[in-house]
Amino acid sequence: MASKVSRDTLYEGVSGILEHSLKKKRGFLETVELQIGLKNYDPQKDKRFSGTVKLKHIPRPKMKVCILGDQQHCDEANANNVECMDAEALKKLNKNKKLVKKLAKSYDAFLASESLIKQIPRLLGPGLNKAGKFPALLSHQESMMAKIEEVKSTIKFQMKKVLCLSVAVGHVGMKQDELVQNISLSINFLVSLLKKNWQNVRSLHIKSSMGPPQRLY
Amino acid sequence: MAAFDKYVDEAALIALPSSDDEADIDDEDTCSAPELTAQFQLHFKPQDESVVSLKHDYVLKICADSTFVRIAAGLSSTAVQLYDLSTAGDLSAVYLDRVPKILPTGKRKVITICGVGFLDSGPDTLLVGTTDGVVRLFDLRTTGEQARFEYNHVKNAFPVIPKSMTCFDCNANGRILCTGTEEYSNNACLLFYDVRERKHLGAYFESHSDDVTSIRFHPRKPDLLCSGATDGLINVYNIQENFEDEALLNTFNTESSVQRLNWHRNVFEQDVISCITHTNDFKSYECQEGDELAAFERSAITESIRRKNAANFNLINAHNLEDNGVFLLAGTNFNKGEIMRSVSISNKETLTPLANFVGNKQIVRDSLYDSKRNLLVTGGESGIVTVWTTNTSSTSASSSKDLKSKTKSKSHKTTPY
Repeated sequence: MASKVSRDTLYEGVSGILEHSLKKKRGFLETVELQIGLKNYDPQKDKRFSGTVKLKHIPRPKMKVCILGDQQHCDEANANNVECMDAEALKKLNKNKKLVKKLAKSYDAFLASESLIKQIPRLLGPGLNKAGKFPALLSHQESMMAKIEEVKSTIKFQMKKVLCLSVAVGHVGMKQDELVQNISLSINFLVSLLKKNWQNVRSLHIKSSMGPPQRLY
Repeated sequence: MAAFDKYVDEAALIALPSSDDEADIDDEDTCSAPELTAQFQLHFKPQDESVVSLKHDYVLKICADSTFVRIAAGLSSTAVQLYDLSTAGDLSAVYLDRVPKILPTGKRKVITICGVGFLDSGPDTLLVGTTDGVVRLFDLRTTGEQARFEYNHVKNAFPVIPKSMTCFDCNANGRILCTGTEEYSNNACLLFYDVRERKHLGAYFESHSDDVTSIRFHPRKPDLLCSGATDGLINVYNIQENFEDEALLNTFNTESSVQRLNWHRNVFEQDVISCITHTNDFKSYECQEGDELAAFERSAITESIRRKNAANFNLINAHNLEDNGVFLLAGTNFNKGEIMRSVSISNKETLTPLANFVGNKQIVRDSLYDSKRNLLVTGGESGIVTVWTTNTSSTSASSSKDLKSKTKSKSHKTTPY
């Protein structure tokens, strides 16, 4: 637990967000994001603030994942009602840039079996790289469903030239406890990557897509 | 009582306390000093140190020529400082004004050095890259720059080539220069130049979707190149192929953000690419097949250098030992980077304590290792270049003038090999 942000502040902020979203229902599921402002940090010369963090609860439930699998993984995917493609299907794309782009667009993320992931540059060219959707490795030692959960619950963050950063950590359909856990996990992880830890933090806010921001720090 | 209420009200109005008051996170060794001495068999001490700048400039990049007789340090202020390194490991500043401070050429007002490198394995030709997208070639025997490599931007041309550069490298035979750019309007590129003919050759712009952060040519094979970016991908190319589609041999997804890449060789004589991520994790891959060979998380490496708090941990670099082994150089941000240690990778799952570097004064940003002499050079955020050796009879480093080093005279029994 982030000691600098008290449990009460966190719960208060989260319930503020949830209440607001209940009062005024929107036509979509509002995202909850964490905004962090930095100080004493020079993006020109200090180390980059960038990476991924795996959260406890899935922040984006609607993410569509596609398995690029060998026979065994495709069978497993079909049994679990997960969309999948095998090497033959990929070969049919014939490195055609338009088709690869279309494939990349139709899913949010890809997972690939070990034997297939090695062939991807050969079969598809750099299309998935360009789209930022190169598959993650799905080995036979791990469960497919667990890996899909992992991909869905992993968020990416990167600070560019401005001293603030915003990451989606959940949505308003989540329980209060779940949101609090995701938020405190993200805060702890992000702060641990800063050179001077809390001394680099200017502010912390949480906010839903349409609601007002709640200050945590 | 009313006065008290008023006091409470006033207190409530005051904004949250500034985080400047926050204390450093506690950190300490996980074992006692004698245990530490026993576990980290090698003890390095600063053989020589030089302060590059008295301002708040960082040493961002350092490089050495192939014989390790000359070292160049690139600063955040775009100045470059050159040193000759003696066989004993002493630094002497040379060519003080040969590489002038570089002023920004384009719209950007603030630029820093994003890379330095010696060309043609000799100590006389130096390449200096700045974040505004220019690589300059200097011949240290004469004044003035010899050549300049930059992309001629044409308005409204397709594809859009980003202007800010992040890294560069030159291939094994010194003929091809490759630079990596930041992402701009969905393009992040690798640009190629012919060093001898001083001209732009071409670009790869499909393999990365975000800022390219590391470009490394294979140390011996001139056509083998790897690149890493904040999109988490490591790409391996054969640059002999004409098109990017064919050139791309392999892609490894680290599922994180790549900070630094290195080439190694394993016991089966295979090429290995290692990666340090921005989250301070380490991963390595076999270059041909793409099998993941080792993966260590930040917490595991923190434990292996016998420190308690992973939040302070900072993975600096991975170096090759003389016997093709690999060691990780790691530090902490605690107390201005006081702690620096190294661990060797014994096998896929084990890190073994290797060396303790006593007397470090800064958070280290770049390092070089000469495996023949067992000598390490570091540069970092306090603007200091340090040469580390295991010598016990440290010839006191008072030879060079611009030196403020006072090697801590802690009596450490150095254990011989």
